[in-house]
Amino acid sequence: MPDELRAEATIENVRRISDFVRDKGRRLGLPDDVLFDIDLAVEEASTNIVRHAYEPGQEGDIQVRIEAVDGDIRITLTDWGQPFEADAAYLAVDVPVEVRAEGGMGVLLIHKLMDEVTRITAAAPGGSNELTMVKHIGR
Amino acid sequence: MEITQRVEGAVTVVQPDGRIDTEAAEQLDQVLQTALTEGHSRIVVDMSKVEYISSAGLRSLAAVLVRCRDEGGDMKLAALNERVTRVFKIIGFDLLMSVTDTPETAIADFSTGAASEP
Repeated sequence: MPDELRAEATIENVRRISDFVRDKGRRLGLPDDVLFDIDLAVEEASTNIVRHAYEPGQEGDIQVRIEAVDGDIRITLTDWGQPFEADAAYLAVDVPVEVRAEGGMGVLLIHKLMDEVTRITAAAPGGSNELTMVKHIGR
Repeated sequence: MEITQRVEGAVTVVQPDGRIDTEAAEQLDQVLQTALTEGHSRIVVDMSKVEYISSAGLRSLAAVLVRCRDEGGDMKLAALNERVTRVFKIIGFDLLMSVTDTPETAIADFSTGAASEP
């Protein structure tokens, strides 16, 4: 049974989303190491949505959905703002750390901490963007 | 997040306690930037009570490190737990700044003038 939380996309609500995901993860009995990785990936992805999906002054929502599926933990973050399409640019291996510190650390962490990362971007403005992150458990 | 601060000789030791998430990173950044503004450019961040750090905290640490070095000092980190160490390695921060096992070692490194980069 998936659990969902939908809230206004604000920095204050990132902490609420993190608390929600950690709480659900604990109830699923996830090991601390797995919980840490999921927690961090969700914070990074949520922060990116809050900072980049919506124009300054534009209100919008963020939704998180977490479920256990066939031994995986699947987390989907949805927003209704601008699609984020820059993953590849942030994943180059030869980026000096000083440059990385300026931006892109979050995307790199998401890809390193989670086993599968998939984006489905809105076909038209106002449609939903979905980021799905999967962590394999016990494989 | 609770952040304590003490001075040991010429070194300022800052000890955050808890999770350095996006919001807490702003608080830590303020403490570190204030220390710098007050002339403390030799900083040890004791991470022994930090269980979690996200990129906002890393970004702040990188900025403080640059400012410390610009002002003739340095920032050293101490006592990272295993998970935080892993985050540091993914980003490459272990190559950017000195990380020691204990704050005492980091403080001692300042007085012996140990190399600022590992």
